Amino acid sequence: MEAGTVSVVHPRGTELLATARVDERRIAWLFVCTGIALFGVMGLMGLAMRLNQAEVVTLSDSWFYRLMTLHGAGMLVAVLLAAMGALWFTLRATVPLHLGRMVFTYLSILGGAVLVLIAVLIGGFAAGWTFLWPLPFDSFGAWRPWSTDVFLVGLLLVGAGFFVFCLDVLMQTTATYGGLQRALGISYLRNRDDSPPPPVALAAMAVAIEGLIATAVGTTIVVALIGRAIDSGLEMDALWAKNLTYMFGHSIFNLVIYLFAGAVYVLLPGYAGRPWKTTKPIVVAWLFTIVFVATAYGHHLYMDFVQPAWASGVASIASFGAALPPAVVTIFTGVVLIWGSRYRWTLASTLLYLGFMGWAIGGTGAVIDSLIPLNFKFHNTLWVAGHFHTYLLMGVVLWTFALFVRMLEESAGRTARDGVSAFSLGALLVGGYGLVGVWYVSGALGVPRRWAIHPEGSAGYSLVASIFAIVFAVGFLVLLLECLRLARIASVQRWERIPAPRRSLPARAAPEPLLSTGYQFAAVCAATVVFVGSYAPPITDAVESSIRYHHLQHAAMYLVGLLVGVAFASLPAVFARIRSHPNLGITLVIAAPVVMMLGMVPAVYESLEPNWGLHLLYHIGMAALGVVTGLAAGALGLVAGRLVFVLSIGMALMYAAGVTGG
Amino acid sequence: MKVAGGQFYWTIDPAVLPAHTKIRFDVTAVDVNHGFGIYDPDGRLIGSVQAMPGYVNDLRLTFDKVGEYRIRCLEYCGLSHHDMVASFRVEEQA
Ligand code: HEM
Ligand SMILES: [Cu+2]
Repeated sequence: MEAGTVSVVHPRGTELLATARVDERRIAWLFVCTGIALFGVMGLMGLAMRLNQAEVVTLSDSWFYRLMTLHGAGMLVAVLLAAMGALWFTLRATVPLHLGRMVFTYLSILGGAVLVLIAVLIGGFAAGWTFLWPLPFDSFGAWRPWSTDVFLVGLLLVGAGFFVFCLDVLMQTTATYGGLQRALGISYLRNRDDSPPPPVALAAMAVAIEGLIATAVGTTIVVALIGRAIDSGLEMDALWAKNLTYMFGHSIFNLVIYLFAGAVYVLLPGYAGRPWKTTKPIVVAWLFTIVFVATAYGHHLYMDFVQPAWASGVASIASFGAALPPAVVTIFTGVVLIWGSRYRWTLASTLLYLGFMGWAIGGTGAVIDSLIPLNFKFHNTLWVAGHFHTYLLMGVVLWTFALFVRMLEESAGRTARDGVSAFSLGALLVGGYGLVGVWYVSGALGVPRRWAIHPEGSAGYSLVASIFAIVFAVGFLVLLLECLRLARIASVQRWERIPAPRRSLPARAAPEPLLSTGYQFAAVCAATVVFVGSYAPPITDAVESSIRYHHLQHAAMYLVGLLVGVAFASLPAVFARIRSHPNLGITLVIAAPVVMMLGMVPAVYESLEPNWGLHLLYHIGMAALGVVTGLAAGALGLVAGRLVFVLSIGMALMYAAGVTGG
Repeated sequence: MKVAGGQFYWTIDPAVLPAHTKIRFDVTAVDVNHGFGIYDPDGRLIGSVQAMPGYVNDLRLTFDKVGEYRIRCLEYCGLSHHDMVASFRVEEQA
């Protein structure tokens, strides 16, 4: 068995290979297999769309756009699941991630996916997976109103699953490495720490922080839309909605790549026989991502109601700053690692390598697209479909296959057959790059994206692309068949005999309260007074005349409660009690802000307004929700708790700034 | 020139424009988001701007080629999104 394991990796790779425990393998199997199955089904829908554009098959407009909606949302779920499984598999060798929370994440996301399926297949929902306001509510009679509600709730569940995953990664990683500065590698940068976290932990920290921010933004817009489903008088600003939607949609796909980049830091060394060590450039690259993303969002929190010209400048610098450093540093150090290492080429390791290529090429396409003068010509053409399919299909999906094959090769104790591997890889490469290549070409010629029927004379491109897609599908099928063969061998050899790491999971540091110094308490008290000031007579007058101020006053009530809750949670006696209930804390930091935003739906409070007592109770209720959020954040410990605290403030303010009507 | 997008049509006023003159397009939408994409007589995309409900975005272009310019919707707006086309003419000034 030992010998068999050695043969699938580099001779010096066994020590470096993240040999996983049974729990890690089970989770990775569950997530990766679900991801691949979904990928297969959604890929067929993609082919159907392409064939329709080629005028080979004829879908009704309704079905084309339903498939488009489902394909976008379903592929997101597919690669998100696979990427989370991959990170869990590789990070858990060093960080004690929580098994139960990961199972919750799976169930919540799967539940969300089922609702999305129902909305699209039965309800006819076809507003695109980006659900851009006000289209979901303005279908021109094309889909049933309930399908919009079901779709939105489905998205909320997907978001909740991802939020829990990110919180767990953040909590456990900071606890393992002794605080935020160490876990981010900042202490190492300042030469105060000579055993920095491994690169996978750095990537995980960046994903967790960015993921929590992105999900908070996504939750705000989705809850606002759910509010509209409850109260048809609710209105929101179209530019505000668009910013929030794209911020969320763009980041979530980006994060999928980062999750996999983290996993690749662990998987690749097994084939190169050299460790992938943390170096200062790697630390700096991931810090860049966090800082740039946070500033980009920061300006969206107090976004004006007209997009100023400088904002798009900031946004394009920020997107470069966030996306380029990790890609450049990871791809460069990865190539250096492989160079001259007598890399062990197997099906799995070749797929890993090719995934880098997809990331690099797709990234270049994205850079070209985001140069503003060019964007003029490419915006919303098929060029866009070209670049994101490059790094998702030829990057992330190939990495997913790599992990899948890697686990099978390890379990079977042998590699996939050379000839079959070469055939499959050839078909995946030719088919995949052919498919995306046609998108780049027709996009540069101006063919619009998201068109069921293309402008006259361009159906030929779609036909060529469909053929490439079929070639890709053949490669995928051959790969699956070879995997089946490996799985048969593996089932004889039994999983449990794969050596597990001798190390046990490291101990975690105890959580710390959110506030510990007198200054911090004083600052919180001062802020509380400021928010209570929103009841000052001039402001209350403004509230009478403007619904935005009215919402801001409700948000201020919530913020007062939040601050009181945080201060309370930090008192030693209280903290000693809540710190042992982190799961309750996680539940409430998700539920309370959602309830708070639903409470701000005009139909909800307007019915209470005429009655003085009920109105007072409503305001007290808002504050109570804040107290609950604050206490729950306290239970998450210093780092995760403070981030959640900031995000709840952001959600309350963003919502108040964008939602009007009534 | 005033442009408004609606499900699933464009209103464009006026429909004939002079060549070699800087034109300002004031683009808005009456219902959902649309995308105002201009294709020149050779079928090349030469510019686009978002048409958003509640906002007027402007786009400035000078046309040197005379002929028929096509408008295509570049932001998904519902089931007949791909039928949302229109056109205007550019002519030499007398
Ligand atoms: C298996 C091969 C695939 C095929 C044949 C395929 C095909 C397509 C087609 C035809 C479209 C519509 C493009 C347009 O005309 O605007 C599309 C859009 C899209 N695809 Fe794929 N795709 C594939 C793989 C993937 C993967 C792996 C992902 C993500 C992980 C993905 C995510 C998306 C997204 C997000 C959209 C945009 C949907 C929208 O505009 O609402 N696709 N794909
Ligand atoms: Cu349209």
